[in-house]
Amino acid sequence: MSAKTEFLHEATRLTNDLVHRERIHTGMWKYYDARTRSQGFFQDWQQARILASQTKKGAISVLHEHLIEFEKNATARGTVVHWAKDSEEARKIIFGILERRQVKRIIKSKVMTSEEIHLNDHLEKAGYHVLENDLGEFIQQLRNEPPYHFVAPCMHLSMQEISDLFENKLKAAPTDDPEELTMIARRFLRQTYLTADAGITGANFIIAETGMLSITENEGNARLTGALPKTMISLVGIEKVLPKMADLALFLPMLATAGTGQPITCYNTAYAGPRQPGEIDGPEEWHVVLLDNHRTALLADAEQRDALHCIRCGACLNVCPIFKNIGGISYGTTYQGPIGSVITPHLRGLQDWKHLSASSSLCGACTATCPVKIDLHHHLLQNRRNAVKERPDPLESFAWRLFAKSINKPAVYQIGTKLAKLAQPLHKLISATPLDPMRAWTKTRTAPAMAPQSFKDWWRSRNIPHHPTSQTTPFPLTSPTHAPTAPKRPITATTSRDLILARVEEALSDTHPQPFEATATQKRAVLPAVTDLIPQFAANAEFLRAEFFLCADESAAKAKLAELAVSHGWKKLATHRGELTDALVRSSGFSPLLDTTEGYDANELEACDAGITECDALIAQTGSVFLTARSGGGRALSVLPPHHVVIARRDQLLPDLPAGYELIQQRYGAAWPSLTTLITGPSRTGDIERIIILGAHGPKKLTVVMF
Amino acid sequence: MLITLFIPCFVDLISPKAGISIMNILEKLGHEIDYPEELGCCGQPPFNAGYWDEAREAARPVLKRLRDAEAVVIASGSCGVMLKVFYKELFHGQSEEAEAAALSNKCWEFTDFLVNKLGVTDLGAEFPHKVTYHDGCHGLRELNLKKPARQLLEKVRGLELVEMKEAETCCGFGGTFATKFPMISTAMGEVKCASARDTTAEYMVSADSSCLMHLQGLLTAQKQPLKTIHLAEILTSRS
Repeated sequence: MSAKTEFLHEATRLTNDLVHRERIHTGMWKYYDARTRSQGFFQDWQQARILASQTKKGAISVLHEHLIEFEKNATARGTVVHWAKDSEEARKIIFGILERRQVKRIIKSKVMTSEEIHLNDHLEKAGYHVLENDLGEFIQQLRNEPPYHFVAPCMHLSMQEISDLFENKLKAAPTDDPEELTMIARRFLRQTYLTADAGITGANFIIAETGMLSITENEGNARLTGALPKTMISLVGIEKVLPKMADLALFLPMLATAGTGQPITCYNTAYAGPRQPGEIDGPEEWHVVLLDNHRTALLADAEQRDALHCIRCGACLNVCPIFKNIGGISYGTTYQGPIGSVITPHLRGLQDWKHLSASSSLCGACTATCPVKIDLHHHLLQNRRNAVKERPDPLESFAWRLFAKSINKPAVYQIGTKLAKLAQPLHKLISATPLDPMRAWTKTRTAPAMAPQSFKDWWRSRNIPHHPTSQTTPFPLTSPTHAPTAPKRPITATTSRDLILARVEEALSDTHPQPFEATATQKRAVLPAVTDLIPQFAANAEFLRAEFFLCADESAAKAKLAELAVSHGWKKLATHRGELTDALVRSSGFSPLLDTTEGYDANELEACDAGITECDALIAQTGSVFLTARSGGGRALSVLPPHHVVIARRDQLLPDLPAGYELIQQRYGAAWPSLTTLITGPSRTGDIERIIILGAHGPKKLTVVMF
Repeated sequence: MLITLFIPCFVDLISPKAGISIMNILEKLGHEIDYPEELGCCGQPPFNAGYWDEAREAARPVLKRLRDAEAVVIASGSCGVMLKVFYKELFHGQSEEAEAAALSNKCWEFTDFLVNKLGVTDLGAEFPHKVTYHDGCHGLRELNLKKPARQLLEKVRGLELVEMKEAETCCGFGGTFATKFPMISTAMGEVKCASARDTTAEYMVSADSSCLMHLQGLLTAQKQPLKTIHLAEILTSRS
């Protein structure tokens, strides 16, 4: 079956499924309300969009330079950077790593690029044990179905369906409690983190300046995937580049706002290499696979190049009335909705996928919502034009030629309308029957009746002398000038790295301006200034369900910890050695106390009731905790135990994210810890009917004690 | 002012009342009307279908006829966008590029023209009914015209405007999309109509006859009492 036939079949089935339609609409309204609230977090959301689109445009316009810079900085820290020109090469690279490392069990956090290269199928066929650990992806894997929505993989399922699935596949007791369903998955997946040999992740951003990958998530599954297995592989599209680490201060809250309607997601982690000297955990090897897979073809289309600015937030799907009525499965693509309809023809062939560009009313809701201002619905128009230019449909072509020649010729127009009027009573006889040539309309809609007197008739009947018509002289016919350009010269390169870089450079040599380009306005601060640090930190942290205690001094903080130990019934604690932990935890005589400073047994850490860490900074603007593998006692201490307690001094509280990134950069310079993470609230998921459940994979509780 | 009025083909043939109302309003405001009778279509259907050569061929007579106009008022948000926004794109890199840009500057969608060019909101209309307003996508998002229609409705005596939840959601017409993907178009129309029905309004109003043609077709087929009406017809209503 062709992709189009399958699309029409599924779209027909799902538009007729009213329960499905209702569920998606309800979910999307919840998103819309949350998002509207979160946009209020920005000083000026529209300015933020302009700034973000300019940043992305700047990054893509020198993509090759950024990729080389990333490679240099990442390699310097022991990361192995691979280049894959297509799916096959990406799989080959990954299989090579897995074989050499003698991997058997693999865990994967949500990786859309791996869906693109059908990695799971190939891994399973080769005998690997692969488990998805994002809750939504895990559910879809159990259903043997691709993600329904690239941000919310199982948003189409009811609680009942998930309960049935868990009962059937995991032998779990049926339940109608979303928390219990989440806990069933948590319990099932927990052990897999401890036993997996390799973890596979994607990335939301590549930071050229520092050689880092930034991963955004809520559940903590990606953090665990990056903490425990000995080998880590990240498969990333080459377009994910951001020039500077400081750019994250804009893109992280923006991605959260547009993606899920949160002010910021729970974990935003920047990885800088495998375990570094002096660190206690993290993978021995980290491989980053940079994937082209036709991205350079999209880059070569100067008109639609901005589609590579996409941060995969999914906002365009969430507002798309087509998506809301046909659902994600109908698309048959890795990336659904408007962005999928725009890019899939570039990634998988225009003629096979042009139907997605045609199946749009061009309403523009996507373009209006896109945080990086991709001109989505105009790109659909351009895809339609390019498809026709490449291979016009003979019948349609004839019809449109006839239309064009006659519609503005009064004599022909008049004859046409007279004939239509005559045909109207005849049409009534066959309307909506299989004989009706207008059945596509009349099957569900009454055919519009022609008015007894047209506007033109009425105008003439008024008998008012009107302006003489000008003579029509034919204009010379010229062909469109801005269809995508073909590569000008054959590229000769011996390695995929050089090939991809040459493709990028070649693609960027076409600098045709984008026709619908937005006018840039002046840059200015996009997030509101923070003035009253402590109350704002308290309010923002509590909004995202973190617990915050402000203590008068060190001894009060010590007493607060002792009180927490009693009230939470902590039996076993874990911490690392540091100035504050020594003063507040180690000196208090908590016992037993697992000290992770020299390393730890993951099973033992997992069995602890709480992990107590220090941090680098607290951020008032978002209510977040900034910590690194160094200040936070490694990668796992702050995410594996069910309760994470952070102790901080008052002077560690900073106003906003830019200040946070500045501090981190000053503090660590070139000697980056392998992990820097921004934690906001306890681990959470909204994958089951968009109901927020805490403790999806990481801690169920986050407590900040400040003095 | 001499106003050139562009009447799209479906207004001419299916909803001439909307066109007549617009003409009456403009004349009543003391303007002279030039109606280019020989023009039938702006060329949007082939443009949207990807047949840009054909769209250009259809659009050239329009471009030429409107060259010397002082101001062009278009009786549809959708065709208005074609003339004002998409001609520039369609003729980009063509010999008519400058002409398309010049035309763009003097094109006005009808509600935009009344409120923002003429500064008129009260036309002395009376329409004692409860109505809800459907934003046509092209007017709303390409021309950013959320306010003018509401400013006009506000001044209509006896009229009660109740906003529907899905006011800004596409109705599902989308030109040939409506017949190429009828199941999606219908589902979208159903969402719209259900949202309008929830307001308990008697009328769903819009400044786009094409959306209304699709929505009325759906409402009639489903035998629903909710009626559709073009904004201009309300603005010429008197009790």
